Amino acid sequence: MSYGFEATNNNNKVLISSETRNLHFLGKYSSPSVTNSATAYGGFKELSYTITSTVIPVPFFDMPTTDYYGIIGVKNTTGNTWVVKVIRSGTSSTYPSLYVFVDARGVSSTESYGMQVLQNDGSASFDSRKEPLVITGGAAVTHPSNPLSSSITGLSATQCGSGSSHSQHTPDVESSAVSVGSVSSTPIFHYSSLAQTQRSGTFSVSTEECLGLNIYNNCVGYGTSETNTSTYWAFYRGGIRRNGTNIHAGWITVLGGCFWSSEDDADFFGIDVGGGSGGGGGFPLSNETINLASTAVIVGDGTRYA
Amino acid sequence: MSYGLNVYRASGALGFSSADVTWNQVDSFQVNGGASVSNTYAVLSGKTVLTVQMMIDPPSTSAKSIAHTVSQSGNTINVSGGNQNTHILVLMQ
Repeated sequence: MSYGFEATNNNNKVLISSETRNLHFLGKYSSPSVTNSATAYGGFKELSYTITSTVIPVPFFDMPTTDYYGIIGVKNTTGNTWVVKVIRSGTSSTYPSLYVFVDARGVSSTESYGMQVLQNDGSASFDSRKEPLVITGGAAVTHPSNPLSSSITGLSATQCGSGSSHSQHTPDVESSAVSVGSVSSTPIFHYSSLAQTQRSGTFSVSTEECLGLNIYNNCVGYGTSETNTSTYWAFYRGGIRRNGTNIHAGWITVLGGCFWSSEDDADFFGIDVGGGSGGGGGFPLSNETINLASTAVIVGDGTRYA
Repeated sequence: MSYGLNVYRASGALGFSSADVTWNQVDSFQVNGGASVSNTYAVLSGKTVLTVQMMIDPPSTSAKSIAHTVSQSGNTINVSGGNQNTHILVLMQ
């Protein structure tokens, strides 16, 4: 830079620059509303945090349990109101706190001294009174392509008879441990859940019944046949969990369902006299994983921003 | 500390230090589904750059929600290929 102000640390990383904007602490939000949830296949909860900000919020979350967490939406709903949506795996009612950072224009302070760095338009780039974001570490994570370690087996083929009480779709695969460096007693994480995957298993069974004469396994007269097919599926989004100074990228089940069909047919002396089918359910992907690109995780110290 | 800079809050608590590490926001912008954006920032020259993508709406459970591909070429950030509206943050240190 040819003019302005720039401060670097002893690793030559920029701390403050009059050409950029430091992030500053807007607030901590600890009472989300639960806007979606499910209990099947490990369960999940979608938590919505409402924030007032004049500029785009950059949310971090803590992880109060060893479940998986991720940010799935940051939306300006009206005026200065934003809704940040976070998902977590499991059915517990322990929810993360959201730590929100914005550039200095979006935070007010009544303290009368400190240090400010201004951009060339006169707006604040850095303001020491407004609790600038300090990070402690970070990493890049990539989710495993398959959330399940085993094939889906043994489910009923007839009209989704196995329901959702089985555990065939419970995710059990995660990435290897990724170190995020030293962490405080309350590390906070910025991580956007972009990866998605779906897994399904299809089961079929056919039955035949002879209502006429069965001669050497040939039905003479009136006979019926029925084929039942059920496709059980679950839809997952990416999440991260913390284990000490490591994080793992895994999967959170957000939706599950089953699609079935039943086809019956009847013959009378070899003449087709009727049939039918039925079904229900649907799924957005088919045994596919998308958005698997490496995703950044930024780690801060929540104890600085109580 | 034997050298560097400490900036204190009115309470006496340390507010920021030259021993700290942070990410500075260079820009934030929205890229809609189906759109492509390329922005060039001279300030990125020689710096470590991190881009963050945040979906505006949660990914759909009834259709494929494809994230944008975000790449860096020199001082230019390229965003394309997604079918969802997203926020892009360009950070540097």
